[in-house]
Formats: sequence, structure tokens, C-alpha cells
Amino acid sequence: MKVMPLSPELISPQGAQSLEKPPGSRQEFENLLGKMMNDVNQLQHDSDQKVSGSLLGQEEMHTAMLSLEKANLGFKLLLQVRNKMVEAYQELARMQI
Amino acid sequence: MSMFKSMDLSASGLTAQRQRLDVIAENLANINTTRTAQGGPYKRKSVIMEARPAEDFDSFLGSPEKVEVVQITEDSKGLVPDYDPGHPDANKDGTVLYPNVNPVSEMVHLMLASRAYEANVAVLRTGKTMAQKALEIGR
Repeated sequence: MKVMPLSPELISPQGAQSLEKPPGSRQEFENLLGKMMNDVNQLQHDSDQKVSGSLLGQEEMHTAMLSLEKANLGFKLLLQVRNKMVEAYQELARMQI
Repeated sequence: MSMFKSMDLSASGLTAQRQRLDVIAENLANINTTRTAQGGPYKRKSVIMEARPAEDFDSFLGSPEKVEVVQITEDSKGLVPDYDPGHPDANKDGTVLYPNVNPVSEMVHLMLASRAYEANVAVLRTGKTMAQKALEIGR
């Protein structure tokens, strides 16, 4: 029986291609994260304004509470995204080479 | 975010019920008022609520509708006459017209407004809990 020698093409003809990242994906994620941070920041500014407005009697009380809740939820979502990212990074850092 | 849409809808409900409460408070406060700026006794007021599309320009695309108080109407029927010739607002027959505010029906409306407000708060709370549960998926 003849044993065929292993060649890189035989092991993984498409492996090298699958490691290639889709063009612009890092940029997209960065943009997304930046936009999300801006949004959360905006929500927190809004809630600040609504709270002071309702303390001055210009706004209804529930609008202040609502915008506080929105800011809270938005921040929590951002925090979860960040946690996932750090988790992925730590997973990579632990990897044995 | 789409989750905030339901919050905004509930917020419009809360605002509408608050305004309804204001009108009920006005009615009950003026239950014995016999003179107003327009002349005559105080007349019972009630709110008219209308569904409005939550976003501009796509009402015909089936967007969700929030509620808004569009008008506060006066009801001039059923003013209560009372014979009291010594009253300064009595007419020449000696009768005074009192407002058509019925305390019992106002109390019923008050409870309805309170319950509707609570229902909107319950929707809000549920929406908040759902969003928090969604964030717990990743944990």
C-alpha cells in the first residue's frame, strides 16, 4: 500500500481562506460600539434634563422616571456587550500556543 | 430601540390619565362654585382622548398609536337648581344654579383613572423586566 505524503493543500484547502476576515468588519464593529456609546450618553443626558425639569415642575414625574429607566437599560446593554468582548479577549489570551 | 417604543406608548397613557385626574380634581374642587369668569355656575368638564400615531408621517403604515388628550369639554346640562333667595347669585325667582358635578360619578372616574394609570405602569414594568431578562441571556 502506498502512503500519500501530506501536503498543506490536502489538510485544509479552504482553512487558509476561512481565517481571512470579511473586509471592514473591525471598522464596522468599532463604529457600532462608538454609536452605541454615543446613544447611551445621549440617553443619560436626556434623563438628566428630564429629572431637573420635573424637579422644576416643567415635566411630568413619570417622564423623568421613564428616561432614567431608558438610560439604565441602555447602559446595561452596553455593559453586557463590553463584558462579552472582554470575555472573548480573555479566552484568546488563555489560549496555548 | 424598539423596546423603548412600548415605553413611549405607555408614557402617553400615563400622561393622558394624569390630565384626566387634573380635570376630575377641578370638578370636585368646584362642586359648589356658583360664579365663574364666563358667568353662571361651574360646568362639569371631561376629557376627550384620541389615538394618535406614535411616529410622524407613517400613520398609514400601521404604526402603533399613542393616546393624547385633544380636548376638554364642558357639559352644561343638568345644572342643579336650589331655592335660596338670600344667596347673592340667586335669580329673581330665588333659585341658585349649582354645578352639575355628581360626586359619586366623579369618584368612580377617579378610581378608573387611577386603575388605568396603574395598568400602564404594569405594562411599563413588564417591558422593563423583559428587557432585563433578555440581558440575562448572556450571563
